[in-house]
Amino acid sequence: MLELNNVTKTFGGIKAVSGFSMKAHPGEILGLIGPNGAGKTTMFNLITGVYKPDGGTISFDGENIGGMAPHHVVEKGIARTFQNIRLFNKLTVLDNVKIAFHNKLHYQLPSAVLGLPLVGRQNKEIIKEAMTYLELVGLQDHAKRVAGSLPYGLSRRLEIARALALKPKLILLDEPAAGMNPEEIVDLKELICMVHREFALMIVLIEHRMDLIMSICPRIVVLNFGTKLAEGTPEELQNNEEVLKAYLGEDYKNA
Amino acid sequence: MGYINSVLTLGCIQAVSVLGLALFTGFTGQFSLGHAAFIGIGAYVSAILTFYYHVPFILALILGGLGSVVVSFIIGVPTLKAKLRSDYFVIAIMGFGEAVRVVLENLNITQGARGLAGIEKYSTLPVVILVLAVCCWLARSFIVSRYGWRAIAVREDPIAAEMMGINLFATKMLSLAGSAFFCGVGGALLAHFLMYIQPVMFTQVQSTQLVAAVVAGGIGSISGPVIMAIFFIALPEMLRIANMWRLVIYGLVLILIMVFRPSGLMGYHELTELGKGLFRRLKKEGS
Ligand SMILES: Nc1ncnc2c1ncn2[C@@H]1O[C@H](COP(=O)(O)OP(=O)(O)OP(=O)(O)O)[C@@H](O)[C@H]1O
Ligand SMILES: [Mg+2]
Repeated sequence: MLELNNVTKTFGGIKAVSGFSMKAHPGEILGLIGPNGAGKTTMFNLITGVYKPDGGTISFDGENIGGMAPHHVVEKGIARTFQNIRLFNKLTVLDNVKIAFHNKLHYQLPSAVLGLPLVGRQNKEIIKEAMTYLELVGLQDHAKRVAGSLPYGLSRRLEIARALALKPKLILLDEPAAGMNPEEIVDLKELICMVHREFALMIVLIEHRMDLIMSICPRIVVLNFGTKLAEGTPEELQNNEEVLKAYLGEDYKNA
Repeated sequence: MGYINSVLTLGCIQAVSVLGLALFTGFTGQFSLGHAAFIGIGAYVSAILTFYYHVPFILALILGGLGSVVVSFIIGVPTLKAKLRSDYFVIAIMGFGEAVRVVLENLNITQGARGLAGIEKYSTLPVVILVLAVCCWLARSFIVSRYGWRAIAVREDPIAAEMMGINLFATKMLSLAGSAFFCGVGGALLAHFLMYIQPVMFTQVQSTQLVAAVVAGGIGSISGPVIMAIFFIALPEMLRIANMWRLVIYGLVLILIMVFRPSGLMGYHELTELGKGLFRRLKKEGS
């Protein structure tokens, strides 16, 4: 279970997140929405240790992870994708996923430096496993391609494959549908639902595409100016005056 | 013959040190203008060992490298742990390089600014080529292992690398230590080639030459920087005939590389790939 309690983060006077609390349960797909600059990405950065919270606690499976270094947070079973895609652009698609296994190989530095055969053997075994993640997102035919040359939609899929390869318990997706066309979004929706089922994952999803988020998230949290504006099922939120006001402005009734 | 031999020997020695910086800059994406200090440490540690204590050369070579590794932790731990911005890190390691030189100038065992003379000559061309080959093998093995994957991930995108569970500090520190080792070995070879060393040999100018070879040779390549290291040592010698134009041509070569191969001679590629490609084409034509 992911639990945020009264979390606060300020950037030189700007309260990006203030007194925010929420819970996400195992196996849940939780939606996180809010207008631009509401603090959604900052929330992900706080959970993953990119930023240290100025106040409040963040716990995952009962352990306090607020302010923990990102690579330790990953060890606890949290993975993420980025709003502005961050792939290892110069590497191949396959190598991008292979990196996720760096901690699971057994050889140590001396064997690595000496280039012992066991190093090559273990590296090879990883390839097979990495390929299964590429197949999962439909990138198996692009394995040898340089990641930087992928079109937008495929880059987002590769980022998801790379995060899944870490075998996380919780995955944080930051606007995975941004820049996708309607068909790609349908495929993405299927992909998210499929990995959610297959891996019994907990997912927190930030998205501006309401159609997508309303159709796959049974529960949604709305963020505005760094605080929680509302929380509920898609139906509840569609009729929530506060939410409509935040999205459409004061005179939403005339819109 | 003896002259060409010397130039080649010096070139290969430089290549060993450049290999070190290639690891740190070319594969880990960290810049440094202080690596001459590691060459200096390796040179002095090994020379002191063979000169005063008659330690076998091969052992002195390795201990010279390890000496630099120890010193690399002194500068690496505080700066890399503090996540110093990369431009500040460059300044810090530059200052550190100067500090090392001042220390070398003021110790008794190094015989101060006068330097150490009468060092045994062990670095012959075959020895130096052998050491370079071994070092290339070690570096290559490192790069294709999970330790190398981590370094490359950090170079490509440190934030994404962290979210792959990579410890940024440990990865950068390991690369720095590895690069210090190669520079130290390079320094040890140098000391036992020139047969005398002075602190003034290990200045910023030397650090800059390492950077030039790595950048011109290509980021993400081992063979490129090695070739450029030898080339940059040999070039001024080859141009001795056209003495007046030496520096002009030197500069011209750098500019030509920048213009025609902006990512360096072998950026992200290796010489061996060229061989493999050729082999594949021959096989195709044959069949
Ligand atoms: N590193 C930072 N330094 C300074 N201010 C920041 C930083 N990161 C975020 N902010 C500020 O915090 C606020 C929240 O930003 P955040 O990126 O979390 O919004 P968001 O909800 O993800 O918006 P969007 O939908 O546009 O992605 C913004 O006002 C932003 O300018
Ligand atoms: Mg955002």
